[in-house]
Amino acid sequence: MNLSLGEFQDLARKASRGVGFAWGEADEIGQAARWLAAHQQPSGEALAVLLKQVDAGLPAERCPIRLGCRFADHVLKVTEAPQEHSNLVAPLFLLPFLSWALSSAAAGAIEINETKGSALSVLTPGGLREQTGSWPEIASVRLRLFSVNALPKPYPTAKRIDLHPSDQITLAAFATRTLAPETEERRRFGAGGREE
Amino acid sequence: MLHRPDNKAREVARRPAHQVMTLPRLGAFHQTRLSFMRVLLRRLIAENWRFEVTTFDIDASGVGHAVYTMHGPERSYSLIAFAHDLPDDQRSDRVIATAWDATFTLFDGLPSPSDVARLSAQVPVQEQGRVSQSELSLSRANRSTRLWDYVLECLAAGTQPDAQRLDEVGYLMRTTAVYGSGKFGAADRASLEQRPEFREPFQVEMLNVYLIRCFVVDLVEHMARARAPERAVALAPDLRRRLGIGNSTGLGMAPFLLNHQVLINNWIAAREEALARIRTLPAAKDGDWAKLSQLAERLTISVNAQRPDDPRQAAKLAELRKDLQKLAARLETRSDVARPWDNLWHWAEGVLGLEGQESLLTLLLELRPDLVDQLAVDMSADESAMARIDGRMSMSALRRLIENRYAWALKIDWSDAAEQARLWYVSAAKSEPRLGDRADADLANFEQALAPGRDAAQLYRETEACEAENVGQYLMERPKHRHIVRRIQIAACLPYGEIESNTVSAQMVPIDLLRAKLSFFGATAFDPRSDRWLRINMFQNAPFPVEWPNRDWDDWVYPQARA
Repeated sequence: MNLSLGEFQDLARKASRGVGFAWGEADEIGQAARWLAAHQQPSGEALAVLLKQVDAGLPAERCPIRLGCRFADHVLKVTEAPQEHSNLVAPLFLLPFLSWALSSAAAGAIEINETKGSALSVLTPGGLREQTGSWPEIASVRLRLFSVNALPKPYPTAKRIDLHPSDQITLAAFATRTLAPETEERRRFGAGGREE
Repeated sequence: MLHRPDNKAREVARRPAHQVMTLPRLGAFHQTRLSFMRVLLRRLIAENWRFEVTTFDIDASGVGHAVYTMHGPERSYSLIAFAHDLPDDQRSDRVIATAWDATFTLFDGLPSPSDVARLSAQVPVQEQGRVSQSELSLSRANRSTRLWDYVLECLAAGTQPDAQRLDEVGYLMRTTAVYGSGKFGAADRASLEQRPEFREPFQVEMLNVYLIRCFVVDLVEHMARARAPERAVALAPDLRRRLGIGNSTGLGMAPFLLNHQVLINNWIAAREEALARIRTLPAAKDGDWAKLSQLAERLTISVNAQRPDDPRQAAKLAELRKDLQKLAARLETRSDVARPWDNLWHWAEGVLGLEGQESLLTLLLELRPDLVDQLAVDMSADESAMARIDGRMSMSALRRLIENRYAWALKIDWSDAAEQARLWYVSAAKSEPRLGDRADADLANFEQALAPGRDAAQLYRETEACEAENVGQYLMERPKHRHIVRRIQIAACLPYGEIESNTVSAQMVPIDLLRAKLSFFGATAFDPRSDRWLRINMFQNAPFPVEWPNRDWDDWVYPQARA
């Protein structure tokens, strides 16, 4: 299904809340999902993988959102000395948080690579600058900050996302959990209404 | 940020947030020249946009489709209207309805026959269909059962309808939803905001509604002609203009003001800056007093025409009528003092109620378009720019922010059940926001984060003896507070970024939230049907495109004295 990015962001937010993320985290997951889709990354697929795992009880230390929030909040810093984070589910979702972490830091870029070499991304405050390979569903990652003189052009951005039907179904099912079943009493109380 | 054109003289300050951002005050707002309908029409007329009925393929029973196009300096936009034959018993204002008298989309450019064919399968089913990047909105409208048949019969009989009966309703059709940015597959606002014509907020939606209004009056005239080709007449231009497009709005719109802190700040800041600029003026210009008196008189006409059933609104209007009389008398005195408008404003704050004060704001802004209109540009917002949490902030600094920005919330006794009697949730029926009763225990798991006052107070309480070094550390252990920490940090930077009232108390009147947003749209004739939904009128008294060259329409929203 072809979605506007706003629609996808909203779906991602609700689906995240549906698997138990706090509202504040869900807001950021929605923004992150949109960021990835705008950078033409397989955002829907990665999010479906992640939320299924979270729903099945993924430990916090393997969650790229919890880790990403720490970087974006500046609790953790990316340094020139490489650091590793192992066994993350949907590591693709770290990318927007790392870019946001840079937005208010000194100039520089972050390189994040899959420790076995299958994927490498370069991030700046402006977004994704380089992407080689593709991020696996589960991976260990190595991060480092580096200073650059010349960067590749910004990664081309998209206005829409083509969401695979199976991912759409997964996300919609999680999002539905945020909706309260309608009862006649709730309908009358909640919508409040006389009508013509 | 908004800068004053002249900062040499000591300026009158903008009103403080604690005065402006309460629900009773927001629920007394009226349209102004910064409202989005007025911004749109100013642009269309100033830039001489060309209006064209590209297609009108509708049969005698009112079924078919039409395409109404506006050609701007660089781009064209087309309203594609599908007219249906809806049985009377299926006509409902509720958002959960599944059939309508007319359905619409605003198309980016000129649609091809294949676009119209594609959309004819999607637009009439509204939320069940999908539109694409080429479409900018999705909307629908129902006939006013009170007025449609009457006007149709009059025109078919070759007579003009009675003006008073038109005024009693004010529109032939009312929209029950106007979906914009990105909804149901439509183009996102983000993909359009570089276009000058959509720089100010909600211009897509307002253009959509303006073209619906053009279509609806044409449709009733068309059906009258089809019924009685020999006898039928067109609606007289003065009567035509009296018809706006109605709208029924419920709680679906209410969370918007809470969810868009930066945007609401910018809307209010523009309005408050405009008022401060006028109040700062050292003297009245020739004609200012007379203009103000005339506009107050015309506003009184529109207030007097309203007959809401709702007792609260009726009481507010009764007070407003008295206030407008006081204002008219005061304007006669034309007190020749320095800063006459600031002087008038101080008088109003002492004498008039909230409706009267906010009406005066509306009128004062009309005096100096040169100081006011440019502020509309600042009413948009890039909300992503403020989405990040600064985790380096110390907990004591966060607590000080709560003390400063949420003092009103800290004064509320949140252990009193009445202060938390309600909760916001989203219903499984069409994903619409609703206000629930907290006593309905099953709803708790579905609560939306729309009680910032309560959440800020709770965070304050929980951090009294907090050992975390900073906000980031604290949130690692307590992610449930992320949303309110972000709100607090945003509110710290934006004076009008928070509504300073309890949004979940038993006494809260949800339509105050709706009224505030609708006033920024430019809506008039607020007609609450309960405390949770209301009807309004849009573009009432606005000129149709063919009338644009006739005169200066800057003050179109104020009705002329009725004959």
